[in-house]
Amino acid sequence: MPVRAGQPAPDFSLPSADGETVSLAEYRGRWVVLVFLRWLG
Amino acid sequence: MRQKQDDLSARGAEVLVVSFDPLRRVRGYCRRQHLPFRCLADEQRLAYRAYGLGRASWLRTLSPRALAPYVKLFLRHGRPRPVYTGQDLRQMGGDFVIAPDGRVALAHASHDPSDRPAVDELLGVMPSSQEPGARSR
Repeated sequence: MPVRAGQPAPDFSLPSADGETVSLAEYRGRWVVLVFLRWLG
Repeated sequence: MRQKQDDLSARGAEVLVVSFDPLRRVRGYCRRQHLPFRCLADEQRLAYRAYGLGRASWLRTLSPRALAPYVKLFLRHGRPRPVYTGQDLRQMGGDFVIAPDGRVALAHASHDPSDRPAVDELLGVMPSSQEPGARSR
């Protein structure tokens, strides 16, 4: 079931290309745009 | 989205690009594309699943509407995009705007590969940072 507007955003913790581990929670207090890609190609 | 980076910065917004490809491919892709955003690897698709982003049917994945952008690319550049072994063409993407309070302000799970919201739609849910009286006429 896709997440809907108004719901709490699910947190996650993922490795980043710059060598760190990034959690959505780190950005609390800021606007965040999440872009989930399809395949990179 | 790259062209709207100033608008995003004006709103103090951070863009996180998530891919299910292996980290080394994500790193290479973001470097080649010179993406000014943070790129994350979700190889196990935990975040994809948490946000409800599943896999489309082959019918949707190979529909004319879904293939049209790739055909245009091929016609423009004369070569197909490479597909490596193990790449999942059916995994759907999506775009979400998360408000400072941690709630989802906009959710757009793609229905087919060509289904993505315009950046202006994403910007539209974030208040502009322009202060009243900034412009004088």
